[in-house]
Amino acid sequence: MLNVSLSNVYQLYRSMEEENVILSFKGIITADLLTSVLHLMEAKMETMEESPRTRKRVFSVLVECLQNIYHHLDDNPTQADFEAHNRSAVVLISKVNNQFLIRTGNCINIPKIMELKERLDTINAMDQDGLREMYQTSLSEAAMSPKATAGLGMIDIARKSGNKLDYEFLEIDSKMGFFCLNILID
Amino acid sequence: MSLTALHIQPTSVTPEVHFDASTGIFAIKGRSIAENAIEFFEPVITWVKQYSLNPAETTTVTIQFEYINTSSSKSLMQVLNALSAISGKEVNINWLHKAGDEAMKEAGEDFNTIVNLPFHILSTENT
Repeated sequence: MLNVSLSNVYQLYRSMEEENVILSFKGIITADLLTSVLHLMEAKMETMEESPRTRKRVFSVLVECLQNIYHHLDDNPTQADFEAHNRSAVVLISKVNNQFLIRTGNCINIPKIMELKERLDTINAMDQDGLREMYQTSLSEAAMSPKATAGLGMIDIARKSGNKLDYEFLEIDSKMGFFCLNILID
Repeated sequence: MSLTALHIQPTSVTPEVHFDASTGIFAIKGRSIAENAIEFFEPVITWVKQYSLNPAETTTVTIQFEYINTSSSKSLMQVLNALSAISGKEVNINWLHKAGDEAMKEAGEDFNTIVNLPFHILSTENT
């Protein structure tokens, strides 16, 4: 017998209910799964009375969040540090005080944290005009570079959400950290 | 040697592409949100580069997205760069967005700012 009480599922259910979770996922994000989550969320929002503007914003932000996680894992395909359990991520979409909140969490190699933190802080220091300029510059540069998208995704998330990128890094062990990102969508 | 027209059928995550080298009429329409957008656009970019060597007198590109992710934007930028390399011939971009779709209007304005091609950003009726 597993040492897990059946009522734990109820606790989990209660807490998700209290937090108004619309959709949640925990596991390895594959290309197929990514597409399925997007279709699922789109169908869910169609049944909710949201303005087309909100639906589009939530959907666009979710696209970039999931693809960021997916490509981040793609960058670390064979690393011994990145064992199966470190490749899974968590995604929660909820509605708080009439605003959509997308929360994601995924493992990250400790040496990569500084670079990501700097990028997030740079984005958070910008207003909408600054973000537009930064996006346009990055887009022109990205077209010249063989690298995936050179951080365009995070800038786009900040622009479309209309809010700061709320993040935190936790230390799991000496090699591995955990990256939490909260996006509130206006 | 004339270039065969490029036709790609849409999927739920990739757009419909109709590029006709003989008429110079190009259209790209729908959603472009695939995680592997770069692979999707590779043959499109190759085709446009080929086309730019022997283009029609006038090339008119109609772009109408419902959604576009950032990796597709990067690839679209490469398509537009290849078109902007055409000299001595006319190239026009019609960027269509649904009335009220601020995000797609903004996306058009972003490209207009950084691409050296005449852009017409037009709103279509909201249906």
